[in-house]
Amino acid sequence: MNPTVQFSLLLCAFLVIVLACVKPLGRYIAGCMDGEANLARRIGGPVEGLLYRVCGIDPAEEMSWSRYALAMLLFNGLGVLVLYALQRLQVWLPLNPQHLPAVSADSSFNTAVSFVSNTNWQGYAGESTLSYLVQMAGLAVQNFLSAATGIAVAVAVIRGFARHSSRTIGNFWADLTRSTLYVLLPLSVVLALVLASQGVIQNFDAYRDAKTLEVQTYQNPQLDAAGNPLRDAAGNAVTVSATTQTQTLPMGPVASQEAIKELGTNGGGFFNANSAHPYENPTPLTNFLEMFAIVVIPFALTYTFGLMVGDTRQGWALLAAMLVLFVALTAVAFRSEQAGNPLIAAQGVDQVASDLQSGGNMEGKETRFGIAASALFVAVTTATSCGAVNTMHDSLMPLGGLVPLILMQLGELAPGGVGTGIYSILMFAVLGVFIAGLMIGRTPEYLGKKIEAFEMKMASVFILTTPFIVLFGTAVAVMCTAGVAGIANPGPHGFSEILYAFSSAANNNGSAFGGLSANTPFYNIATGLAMWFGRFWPIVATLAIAGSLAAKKRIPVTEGTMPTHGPLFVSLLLGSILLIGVLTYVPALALGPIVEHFMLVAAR
Amino acid sequence: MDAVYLGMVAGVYLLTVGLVWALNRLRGPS
Repeated sequence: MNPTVQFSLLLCAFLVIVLACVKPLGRYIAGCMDGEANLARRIGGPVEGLLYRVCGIDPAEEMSWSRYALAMLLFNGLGVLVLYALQRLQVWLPLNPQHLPAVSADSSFNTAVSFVSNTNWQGYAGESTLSYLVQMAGLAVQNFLSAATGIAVAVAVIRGFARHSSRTIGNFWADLTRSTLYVLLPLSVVLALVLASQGVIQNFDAYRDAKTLEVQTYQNPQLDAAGNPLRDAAGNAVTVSATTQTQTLPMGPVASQEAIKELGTNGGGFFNANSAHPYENPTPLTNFLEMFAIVVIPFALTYTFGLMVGDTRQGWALLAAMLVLFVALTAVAFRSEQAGNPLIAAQGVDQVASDLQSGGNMEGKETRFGIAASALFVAVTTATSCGAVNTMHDSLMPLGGLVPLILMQLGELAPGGVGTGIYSILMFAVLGVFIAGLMIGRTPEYLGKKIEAFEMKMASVFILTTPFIVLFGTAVAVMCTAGVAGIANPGPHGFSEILYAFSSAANNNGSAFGGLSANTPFYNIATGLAMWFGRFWPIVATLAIAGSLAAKKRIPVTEGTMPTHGPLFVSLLLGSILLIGVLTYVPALALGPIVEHFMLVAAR
Repeated sequence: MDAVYLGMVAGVYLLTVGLVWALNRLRGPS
């Protein structure tokens, strides 16, 4: 089959199935979060009530935006401490059949912030670093709680738009509990069972050794005393050749973690190879289901938004903007990868698609998934805040690698992470109506609320915080020895590796250009700080807007009111997103993937 | 070593709580 046709069919089937779930799931989420009596709440109600009683919480007690933010910060701050302690103490804790030692302090800090902030950036290899207890009681628990935090914040922000003359935006503890109990847990149980039925493993066995048929030779990178990779005079990594005929097969409770990894747009793999590992993602069906699970909640939240503000057309308009960005950039990723590498083609390597191969640039990709399913996964995982990978992003063509970079740098809002996607695009909607208001000389309004100075200041904090962290972090890293030491490919691609790392960390994605050796004190601290501030400062600004909007009176719709559910508004929204993204990041992108592309063209 | 990283956690936490306080002051009592 023609690869373009194959990709188009895959993309269409994917979008049809996802969009078919938007309305029912969006309605279900709205019902659960607003306390509607549905089947899930009847079943889970006693557990929910018990949790409130044990924790001394009154779910009906409403919170101002600042109380909501402080509760959210307290909960997540404690989450960091617990996860840090679990890693540092794992050698003395149960469920550690490999007797893995305590994780280093800098890596524990990085991983704790990473999983609490829904980033799931992994500087370590899970199977050789973390015990089953830490994977389950630490990482998997935070997979649920960080995603639930995202949904809670999103619902609070939606209430800010939906309510009027109100000083409160809901109760964080109730929102957190409901999103975990009624949204994430049931979906995760179902998906975990389906994944297990397809071959994703779920056990507590010790790792198994298998003797390979052939002796394998590999290059072992050498590290200095500080853990940084050693380099020769030319700046290339120093490696030592080694051989083995033993392959260790890691085991573990993977299926249960895999489900929430995707549904919560977390992305942290049980194994280092993430969803490229056959125990995490064994078949094309699991690959499809994992992509579906990543985007379904973020897309559905647009309908939840529409329902909660009383006009579902508003939600469809946001979804339309998300879809335009998503489809356009997915197509670029596919075209770039399917075209292959001209330098390899010049050496006589066949990169043409046929019945026997996918063709194109297959470096870093699984042959069982091919170009189409890999390119779609690349877009899915970076259009959300997931960061799970089934292909190695560092091996993408320059323009193929540009796509995940841009998707992250635009703020991951097409459709974005669980919860984060909807509130991120709402911040751009606020900006969009503000720009429109400036153009026509009217006070900007959105959903019957005047957008005034305070909202614009908060939207500015929201929109500028992340780019500042990305660009400042990248600049510091390329100017200091510890930052440059991690680069695997000196030159523009090395710059891209660092830019990608900070784009991923600050936008809470977690995927990486894996050539960067990031498990060093410098990167563990720098990306740890980027993940925390990239997650929680925008959330605080968003909640502040929610609190301000909730307190406002609703303005009646008049002939002068700009409709925010039609193509004009969608175009305005897309224009705002692209304008901010382009102005902010094009200079940096020009130094990395763009110049790398031109170098490739020149070399050809 | 742990004290350094736990101190860092406390630092970023307090800075974010400070942001809540500052934005709340900017807006006025909520």
